[in-house]
Amino acid sequence: MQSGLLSSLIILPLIASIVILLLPESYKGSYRWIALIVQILLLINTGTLIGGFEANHTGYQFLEHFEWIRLTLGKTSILSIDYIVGIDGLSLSMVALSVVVFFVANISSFSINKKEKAYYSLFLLLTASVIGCFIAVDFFLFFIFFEFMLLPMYFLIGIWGGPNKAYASLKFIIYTLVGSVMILVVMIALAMSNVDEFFTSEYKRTVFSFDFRILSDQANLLKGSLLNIENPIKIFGVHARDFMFILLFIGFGIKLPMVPFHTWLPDAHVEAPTPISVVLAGILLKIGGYGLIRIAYGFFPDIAINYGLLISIMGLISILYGGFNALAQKDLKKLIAYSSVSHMGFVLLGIGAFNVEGFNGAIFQMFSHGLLSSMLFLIAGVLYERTKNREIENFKGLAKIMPIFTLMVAIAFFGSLGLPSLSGFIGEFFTLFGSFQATTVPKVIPILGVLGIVLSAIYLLWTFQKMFFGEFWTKEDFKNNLDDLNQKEIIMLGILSALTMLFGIFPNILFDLLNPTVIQFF
Amino acid sequence: MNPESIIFYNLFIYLVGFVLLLSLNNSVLKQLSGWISIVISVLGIIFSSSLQVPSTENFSISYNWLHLGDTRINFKILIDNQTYFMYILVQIIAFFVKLFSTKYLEHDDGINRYFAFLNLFVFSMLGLVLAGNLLQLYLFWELVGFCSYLLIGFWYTKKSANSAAIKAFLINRMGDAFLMVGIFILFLIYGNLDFDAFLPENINKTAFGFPFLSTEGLQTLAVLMVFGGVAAKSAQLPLQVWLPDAMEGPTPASALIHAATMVVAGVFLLGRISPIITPDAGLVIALIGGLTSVLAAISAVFQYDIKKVLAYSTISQLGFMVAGMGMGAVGAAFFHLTTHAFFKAGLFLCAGAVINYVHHEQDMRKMGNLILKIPVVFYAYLICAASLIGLPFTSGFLSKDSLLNAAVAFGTKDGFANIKILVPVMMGITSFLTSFYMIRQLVMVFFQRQESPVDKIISSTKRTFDGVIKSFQDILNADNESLGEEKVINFVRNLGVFDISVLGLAICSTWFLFSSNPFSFEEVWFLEVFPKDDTHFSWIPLTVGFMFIVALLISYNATYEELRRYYLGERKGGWQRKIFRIAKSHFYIDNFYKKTFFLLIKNNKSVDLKIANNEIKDTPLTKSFEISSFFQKIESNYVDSLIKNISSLVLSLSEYSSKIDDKIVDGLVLKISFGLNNLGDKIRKSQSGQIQLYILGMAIIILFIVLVKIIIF
Repeated sequence: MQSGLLSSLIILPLIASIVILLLPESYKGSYRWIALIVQILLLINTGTLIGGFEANHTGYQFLEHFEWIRLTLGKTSILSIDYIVGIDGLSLSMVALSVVVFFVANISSFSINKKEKAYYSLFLLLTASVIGCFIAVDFFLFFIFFEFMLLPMYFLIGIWGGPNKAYASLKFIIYTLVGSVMILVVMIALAMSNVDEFFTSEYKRTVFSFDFRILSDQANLLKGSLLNIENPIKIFGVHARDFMFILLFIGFGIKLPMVPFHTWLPDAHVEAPTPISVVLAGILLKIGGYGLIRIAYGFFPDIAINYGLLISIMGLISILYGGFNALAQKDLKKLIAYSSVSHMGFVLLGIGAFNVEGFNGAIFQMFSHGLLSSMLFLIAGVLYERTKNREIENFKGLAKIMPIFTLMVAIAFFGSLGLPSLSGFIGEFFTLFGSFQATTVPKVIPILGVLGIVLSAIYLLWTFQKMFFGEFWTKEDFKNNLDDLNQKEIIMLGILSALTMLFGIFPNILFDLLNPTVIQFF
Repeated sequence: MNPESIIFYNLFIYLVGFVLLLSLNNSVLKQLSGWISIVISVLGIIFSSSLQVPSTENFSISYNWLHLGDTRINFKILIDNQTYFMYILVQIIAFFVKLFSTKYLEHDDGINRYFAFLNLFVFSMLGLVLAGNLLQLYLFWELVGFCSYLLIGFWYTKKSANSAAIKAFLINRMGDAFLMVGIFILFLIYGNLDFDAFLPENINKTAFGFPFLSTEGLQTLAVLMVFGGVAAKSAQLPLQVWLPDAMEGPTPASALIHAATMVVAGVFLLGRISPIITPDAGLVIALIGGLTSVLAAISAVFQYDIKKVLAYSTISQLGFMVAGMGMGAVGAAFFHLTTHAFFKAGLFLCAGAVINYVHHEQDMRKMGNLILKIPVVFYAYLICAASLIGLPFTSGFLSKDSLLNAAVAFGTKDGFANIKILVPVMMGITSFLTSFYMIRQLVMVFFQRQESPVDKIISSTKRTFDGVIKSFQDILNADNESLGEEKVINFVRNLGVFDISVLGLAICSTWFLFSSNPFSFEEVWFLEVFPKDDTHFSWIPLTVGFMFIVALLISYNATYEELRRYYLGERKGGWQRKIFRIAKSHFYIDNFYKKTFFLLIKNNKSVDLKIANNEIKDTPLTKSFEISSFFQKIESNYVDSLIKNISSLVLSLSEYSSKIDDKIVDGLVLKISFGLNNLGDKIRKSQSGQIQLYILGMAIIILFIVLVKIIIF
């Protein structure tokens, strides 16, 4: 189906980004509206996609395929790089999450009033590359979007960030680049080992391909190539395929973020402006999980099964380590950042289980964390905007003067700590459930993982109690600034909390989309 | 209407009640919120009464909720006898509680919030009892916990209320973690989470992952894990510490949630899984239940707070029910659950009325003389207390008798020299203590005291028996006064909201609701629907009665003695005081947990101090070990600094390499190139052409290659 619907998700924000760049400064007020209209269009297009998506169908849908680069390598082979986009249940869920989070982040961006032209231009560029990342069906294309994301992100943190922004943005980019290099290595190795049989017979030459569909089928592995299963070549004493898997695991693990590669996250979050924090936690982290499932597990399923234990252990460590660190934080945003580490640990745990329940749970957890962490960062933003302060200890008894805000915080906090009927519960429950049913994982890991839900209850409820209950008190005189939520904030938080409830009560909306895709892995 | 739509509407109206009341903004409408929710309750009761009693067949209906691959978990509504009774019970008690609350909270600003939470609670509790599978039950299980959190912390500006709320939620969370593991193991064994799928033929013999356990051992483990959740929700050892604190919430909410309905959810769950409780697990559960009931009863004897006494009494009675479930007496335990719900809710509401009357004073020692002032409450209290103690003509007599019967049968089945004998023994001690503390409370709260306590107290021991007689005369007098016809009318006319609701619950605590014969539990219609044991020990009610008389005498004396000491300011010394303190603080279990808990969390006082004194972050003010700050240290000292070290290493390396580049490589190249230049000049003089450039280029390339070789190899 060459409808162009999918490409529009990338092209629309790109065009808008250029338009904003070209518009003169006198149209300054219109930037945000252009961006918002684009986000709404993306929402509509995604809605159309969901409407046209056949849930029972396995494999990619809405495929768009254009030949892009044909690089002749010597006389015998061709390297083919194509523009292919398509979606399956996994990518559709992530795209849907992205457009929602970007829409909300766009509204939240209205409070930015410094260099608006550059801001919205970069913001739309970020939108395009993130969505591109999820819908690319060609590894090369994926990688381009993956890398391209860093550029706007770097500037968005580095220019509009807090006092320590230079350090944070540099740390972010260095970490992510290290991860990218690892992924790049794997990408090249994979492409040079996989052959597109169809074009090979057509061109009468060996055609190396980056197409996901070819890479995921091990029948396409060239005999004697580096990544062939029978190939005995070892790199640093590890089998080549194992080595590549580990590279991918670390590369996407940095993005996820996985302990001990997570330290960029708290810094980046603390410095980033609210909408960027929302995007960062809401979507960018999910690319790590998406990559792990789609690429590491999709292309190396034979290796992945041996590493279930390792991944589960890393997940467990992330859950507990993130949780304990969150307990010790005094800055609200840092606490939320560490809680993200802890919650993304559940994703790893689910992936490590390597069964249907675990995978479904992991994807659901990503989705739900996208909604909830966006809410949490918006909440931190609400306070910061009013008082320029985020220390937990500086606020007490906010419930009395900000009742609607308190309600929203309650939904976000209880959703994050896994109260059933909100989406967080389903994700956590089924990752643990999957891990417990997995044959490769000893039971002690999910049992310890259950401690994570106790921990999250401790740090979130404590924070809730400290900041919102008791008699009203603030360290400095913030009282006049602390109005209850305005309409804009109610809309943002309201949308997200409604979605959290919807998916918490009817998880099957998502599971129905995911099931056919997930089952393919097994 | 078919049962499906009845249930749907029934749940729906409570949910509507929640949303509607929460969104009320107008102060006039807020005052009406109590009556709105009463209407909702009445509607709910009407709806549920049109539900047919399933006598033999269970009604169940399931909806597709979620499926992951081959794992399907349905949203399933299951109505059996157990559900049916709970379903109606919850709504009736909620009705009385709401009625009571309309007055109790009439001047509270957040009254709409309160009633909204109550409606949400009823909704969740109904969902819990209707749940047809374990996951669905878990869902509502946490929701009722959440409601309890909201209602305990209802007065959110009160610090103690907040701490109590958070404590309740966290301890329940811990229990839920156990329950979750239990769910996982049960799924491993049965491959399904539906309650009616927990059948021996569904057992998966190849359940993996537990090499040391047989299938039955695994089942025991699963049941014990589920029991972990039960222990938190139903306040059993060792997770019972949250319930006494939970009394910080509004009293009527305590009556509904922390006495009558939510806390028995654990017992309900045990009843649900009773077919799969293995004998080993059952024994453990029965022993824990028995032990809890004794310890809590001991603590109840030493409390001064009117609600704390009732809270410990609740724990103690829950121990009874849990023990009953553990020994397989599902019917008896469930019967006790029902009767307990009525009389304990009644007691709590009476306590609420008392607290309201004495202007929010909860110390029983400062009360007294309330017989004449609020007689209706007193009568209601008397009936409910009698029911709790287990006196004839009350529902408590029947249920306690049946439970004790089952316990004796359970304990003596395998002879007397058996650990099982401990269960009936402990329950017997508890019955005695129950009489003791209820009489103590009755005396302290309602009975007369002299105007000048000191005078009275000096001769009090001598006149104890006179006191008994006098007190009963007071009761009779008060009774006689209201017997005249006009007085009856006046009496009815003067009945307040409080009086009606407590009387309603008191009436429900008498025998006739459950049995035609007040002396024999065997005729209870309730028990007929449950499988029952035939053994019947007729000496049990006599023994209980005898124990009551002994307890009455001792307690009456001891309480006046205690009051005398209080007024004179005397304090006990030595070992008596020690015992007193241990018992009052519930054996320091709570303190132990607090200490352990603070291991986890940063001690905030020290942080405040540091900020106040502008001290440097790293001064070791607190020497105690805290896990969270330990992890924080690892984070900042190792994980993050490792990266910092690496990056600074890279930076310094690059600095060196740029120096090398500047001074040596570049310098060398320059020198060479100068040399070459000179050479070239000379050559140029002799020859024309650009040869020197080529040479320069070649030299650089060679140098580069050499450099690369040096660096790499």
